[in-house]
Amino acid sequence: MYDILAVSFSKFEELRWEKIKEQYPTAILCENVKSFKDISTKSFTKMFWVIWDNLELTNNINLNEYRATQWDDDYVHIFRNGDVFDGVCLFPKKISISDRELHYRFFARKKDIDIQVSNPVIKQNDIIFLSYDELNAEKNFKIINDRFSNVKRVHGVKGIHHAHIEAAKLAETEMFYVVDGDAKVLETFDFDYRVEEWCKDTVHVFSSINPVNGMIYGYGGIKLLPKQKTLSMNTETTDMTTSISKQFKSVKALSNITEFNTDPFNTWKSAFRECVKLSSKIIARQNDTETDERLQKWCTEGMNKQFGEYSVKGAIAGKLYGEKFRDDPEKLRLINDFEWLKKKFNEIQ
Amino acid sequence: MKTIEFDTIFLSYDEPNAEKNYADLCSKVPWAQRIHGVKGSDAAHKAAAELADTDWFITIDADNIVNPNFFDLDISFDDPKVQVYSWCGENTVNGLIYGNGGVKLWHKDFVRQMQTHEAAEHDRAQVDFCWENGYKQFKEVFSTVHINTTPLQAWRAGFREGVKMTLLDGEKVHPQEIEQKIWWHNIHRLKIWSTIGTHAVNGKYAVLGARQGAYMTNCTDWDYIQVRDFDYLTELYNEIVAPLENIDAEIQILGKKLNLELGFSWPYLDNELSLYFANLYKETINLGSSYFRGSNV
Repeated sequence: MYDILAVSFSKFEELRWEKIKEQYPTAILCENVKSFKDISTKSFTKMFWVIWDNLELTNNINLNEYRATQWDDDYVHIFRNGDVFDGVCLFPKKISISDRELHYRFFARKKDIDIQVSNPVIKQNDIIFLSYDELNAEKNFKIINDRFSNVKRVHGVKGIHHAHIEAAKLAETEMFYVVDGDAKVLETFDFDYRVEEWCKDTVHVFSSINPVNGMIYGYGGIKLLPKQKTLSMNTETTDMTTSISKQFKSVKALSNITEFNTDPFNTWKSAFRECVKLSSKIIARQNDTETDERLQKWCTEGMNKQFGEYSVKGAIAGKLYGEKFRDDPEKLRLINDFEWLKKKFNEIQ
Repeated sequence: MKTIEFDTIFLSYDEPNAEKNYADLCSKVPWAQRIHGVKGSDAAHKAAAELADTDWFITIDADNIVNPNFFDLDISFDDPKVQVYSWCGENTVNGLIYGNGGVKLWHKDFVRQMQTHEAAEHDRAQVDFCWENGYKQFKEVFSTVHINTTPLQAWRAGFREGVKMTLLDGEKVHPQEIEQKIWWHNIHRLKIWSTIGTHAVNGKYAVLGARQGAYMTNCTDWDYIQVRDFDYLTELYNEIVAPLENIDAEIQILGKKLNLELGFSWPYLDNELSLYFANLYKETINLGSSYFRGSNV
């Protein structure tokens, strides 16, 4: 029999702790844990169980009856939590675990045990609707506000970085969704994406449909952002998502239609900004072939769609601007200044 | 400190197996980051240093598959002079085990200040890193190096080693002095690169590349410094390799030329002999841990 510890990096939810105690009366509560040492010193058995504060035990097995085999009792045993191996852990007491491993619940010396012992407690992440002057913002806001109860709104904040920081301030959950003002959320998208423990500092971008050129990728897609990292982002960068976190995940699931083609200026501006980012190759993770294909489509397709000619014109101008000022961060940063964009649009027309 | 605590950066340029290998790395270290498409080895490593948040960072070359046990290693920084730690990689085409393509742990400040490859000021750093005393090579193997996804990739890997293995401190030596002046480990590696591999997918291109690299460096006035430029190497491949109709015949022709001009006696091994030798080599390395010579034997 191994010691059983209920562990939280902050405060363990009382009801959940009561439930664990009912099932395992000798369980030990460990709150405000900072390092592995804080946990391991509480146990006196060769190995010990850890039940994290965001798990719901399934009762598939009795933890008191499980034994690790002698030849692998120096590995962290990590049990299936729903369909991901980030659940209950059985730790060797003498193992060394770094803070990073503990934080991300991903261990170098580990053994995945394909027994489901828990389900994740999925907290509904806050949804923040971000609008500035998009003509379709009210209509798009209504679509999600009618469907979900946890929608909040940030409106009229100048500068894309600052608008996202305001969104993070408004969010009460560890991660939060950002829906842009021109995003028409699809009925099939339920804002219930399961984030693995090791991805909780990752910027997730869902796929969206471009109504002008038909492309489907992360442009204008709903984002799922880590709150703390968003609050502390560097506001001096051109590409906002990379300045929030170096960890990025492109999620294939379709979230919305990016209805940016509502009038000449907004259409031109959106195409211009995206094509500056693509052609200047400021995004470190860009795949060159994919980027070139996207640029080509932006610059040639969709003339017959609503305000399609402004999309193509904006794309061509953005491509040229990005190529010209590839090595000039100050010039590239201007694409986040909507007044500068308006001036530039008026000059070109 | 455990290796998993350092930032891990995957370095890719145009390797055809990069996506697959990066996905594999992310299954072992989900927070691994990536530098892609930065031209020049010096610039790519500097970009990695900028990306890293930790004082030391790990680089994984795009053709590598890392053994997950690597991330459970304990590193003690007991020698302050050491700025780079390197582990061996095992080449899946010819079985060679050495630092080429292996996993490395770099000190960020050292990388920021180094001037190698395209940024080199001295001849000796033009085609490779220049570590002086600040380098520690471990004997342990923690990755497999997969160089043969396409003919070009295999040829480039062989060609680069064919060039570098005959250089002394990054410079050419007189052809007649190669055997005496070049470290025997490098001559041994060159022998293997130049003979073993025809049994593996695209392996004959690696053998051809090694022979061409050694030949062009030592028997022609070709500027060997260009070996650091991957785009140039692609052009060279398209010019001198892609049109070839019989790779095996070319390997044999180059073998004769190298024998005449440098005295290297490298037989042509068909796929059966190549496989036989590769297996024997692996067994011999394994036997090395059972038997070894006493001193002065």
